[in-house]
Amino acid sequence: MSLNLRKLAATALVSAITLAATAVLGEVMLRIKNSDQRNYMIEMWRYSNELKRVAEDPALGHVHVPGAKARLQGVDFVINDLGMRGPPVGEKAADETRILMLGSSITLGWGVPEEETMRARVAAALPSWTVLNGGIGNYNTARSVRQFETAWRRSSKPDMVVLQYFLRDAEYIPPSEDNALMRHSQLAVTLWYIAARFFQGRSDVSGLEDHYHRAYQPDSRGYREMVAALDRLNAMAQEDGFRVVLAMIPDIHQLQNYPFTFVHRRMRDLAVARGWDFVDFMDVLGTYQGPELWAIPGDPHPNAVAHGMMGTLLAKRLSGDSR
Amino acid sequence: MLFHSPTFLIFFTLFLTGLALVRGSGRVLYVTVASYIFYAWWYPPYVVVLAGLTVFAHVLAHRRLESTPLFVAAMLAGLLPLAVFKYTGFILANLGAIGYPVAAPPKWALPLGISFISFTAIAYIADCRSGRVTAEKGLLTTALFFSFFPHLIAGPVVRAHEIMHQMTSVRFDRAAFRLGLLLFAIGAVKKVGVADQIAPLVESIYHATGPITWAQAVLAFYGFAVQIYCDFSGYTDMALALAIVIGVTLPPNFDRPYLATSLREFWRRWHMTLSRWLRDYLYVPLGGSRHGSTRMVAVILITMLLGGLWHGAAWTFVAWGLYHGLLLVIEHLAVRLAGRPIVVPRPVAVVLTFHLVAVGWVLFRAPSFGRAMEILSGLGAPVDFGALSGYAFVLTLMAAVFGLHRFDTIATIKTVAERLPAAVVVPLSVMLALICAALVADNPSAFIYFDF
Repeated sequence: MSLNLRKLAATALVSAITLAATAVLGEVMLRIKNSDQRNYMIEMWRYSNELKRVAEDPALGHVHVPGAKARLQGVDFVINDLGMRGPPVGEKAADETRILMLGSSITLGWGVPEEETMRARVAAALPSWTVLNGGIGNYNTARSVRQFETAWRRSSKPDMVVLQYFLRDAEYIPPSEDNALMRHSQLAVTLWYIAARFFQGRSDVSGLEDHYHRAYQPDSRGYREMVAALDRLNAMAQEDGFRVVLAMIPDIHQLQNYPFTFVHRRMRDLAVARGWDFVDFMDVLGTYQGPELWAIPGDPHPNAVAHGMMGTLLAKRLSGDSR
Repeated sequence: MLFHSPTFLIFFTLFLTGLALVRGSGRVLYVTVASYIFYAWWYPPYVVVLAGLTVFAHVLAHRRLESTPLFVAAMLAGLLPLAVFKYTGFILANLGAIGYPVAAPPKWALPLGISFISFTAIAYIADCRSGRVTAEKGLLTTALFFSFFPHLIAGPVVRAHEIMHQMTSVRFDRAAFRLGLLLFAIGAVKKVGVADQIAPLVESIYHATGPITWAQAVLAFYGFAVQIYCDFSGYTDMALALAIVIGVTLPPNFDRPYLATSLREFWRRWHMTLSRWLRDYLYVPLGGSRHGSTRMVAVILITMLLGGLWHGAAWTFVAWGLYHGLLLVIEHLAVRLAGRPIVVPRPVAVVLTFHLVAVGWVLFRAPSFGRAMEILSGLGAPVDFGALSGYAFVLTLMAAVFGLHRFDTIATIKTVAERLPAAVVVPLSVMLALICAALVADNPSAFIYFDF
């Protein structure tokens, strides 16, 4: 090895060691800082690390780990044997009526204590029914229906499925890649997110509006997969004899002069076309501005107040259906 | 454009690229134009204030103002923009409070750096009059002296004999880049990684209402002492670093102030360029210690009161200035009465001085005298160390600042930059900047998910 090459290698080694040592310092600082569980991004990262695992079915991406527990964003999460948040569920009794709610992190009750989630509110209002929470973070409708189709259809045997639909459910979710650095380092995941936000461009409501208009183009991949999933769910409902309710969850960034009514209308039409009932939570949340219903500042998941209102409306509509 | 904002980093990168390309005397014009763009970025119309004060100082510096009344009038005229923009609202509010029918306080924004620019102008005119410096012939060089963007917003308060001669040799100093990079990164860590991390907690305690616990009082008391030091000295480090890369050495502004063993020493270590300004252009001209104890006491109190008012237009700032003035008077008188220096073990003197300064910071930070008293009396509430357990991050930062304080000097950083190879300094600085970015990353207001 020539002298110059040796010098270059030594410089590279010293630089790498310096970078690594400083990164360790940064990691320690971030971990201490984020120990207060107020950093929504890191809490979501912990959710993925502590409550989820890679699914055997690549179409699902990830599933909950049965029996896993974690305290995230100041709220306790317990995953039952079916891989759902909530109390344990045994074999279905002959006279038992079950409602299964399918959806994403909103249905899961991100940022909301278990006893205040929509599931718990409906269960409290309809005590003779068993209500199950099939919400999983980073699920869209295609994934929710797939998870139901391959696992919960048989294990939970619902009499009614409430498909809780959020605007992002027509977005295509690309398969995620496992990255050891991102999985284990808060510094790496934070820097990745800063870079992603920098290159992502507008993140305000008008940026969202453009985004959703593109997502709901009939030829967009996510939209087509969502409609196909609705058709599969409908076929299963007819085969098994359960009812389906589509419950529409608004985006609570801006509830006044709400810019996404076109999505609500579209989903109502899709539900009605399949003979399903349609509940629009905008009916109870629409009098608010939006951010006052957020889980914490910066986290636009509905808080306990919003879950309470949505649960009350849903229970009212479901009990009407039962009569 | 704050020095640690992405916008400024883009501005500075473009600026340095251009500076490397410009040759000869064109550099003075180039840096001056860049400085005016920097200043105009926030609010373009206020460029008139900067340009006006520059021309005002340039013209009067050449006149030398032999007549004292004329000189005093010029000084007052130089202070007029500062008085109008900074204190009109305060004066009107106080007149209104005592029953005078006055107009509503104006809602104009304070021109950036007006306090620093005004003091620089006054110092320049006074120094030219006394013969300490020779008035600069070229208006362009004077314009750069006033507008040089590293010191423009938050100091240091520069004086002509220190940097005017450097203005004609501005350049991209590649040899100083390593020191500049390290100093800038350390300044960013102090400002963004420490001060901005502590600020929300301190803010929430100072602006809350109602009774205060011991833990809250402790966090507010020590937290703000750390916050204000890291905020101000961090920003100054960044300013010095930027200037170094442009071939200009600005005067240091801090020298480990919390290691001071007396209030007099504190003011020789804290905001050093302002302390010198107050000494040279207020304390000494008013008589200083040359006319006996009574006059000296009055002059110290006036100097510190006006120094307090310079920091902000509120009675709490006046009280803070008077508090420091009183402490300085007591120190002076104690030494005079004893007839010799009073010897106190150094650790005791350091701890005592720090706590006296920190009491002053409560007055400085509090929105009202009532809240200041609540925080100070909260320190006497029942001790509850358990209540501090939820503040591990802030306490770690505070401990790190106190623990490393004795090493926090420009000389130490310069030595480190010179001794360590670029292979260490460059990745270290870049990584520190990235850590700062990670620490200030706020919640994104959008739905985010991770799947691993």
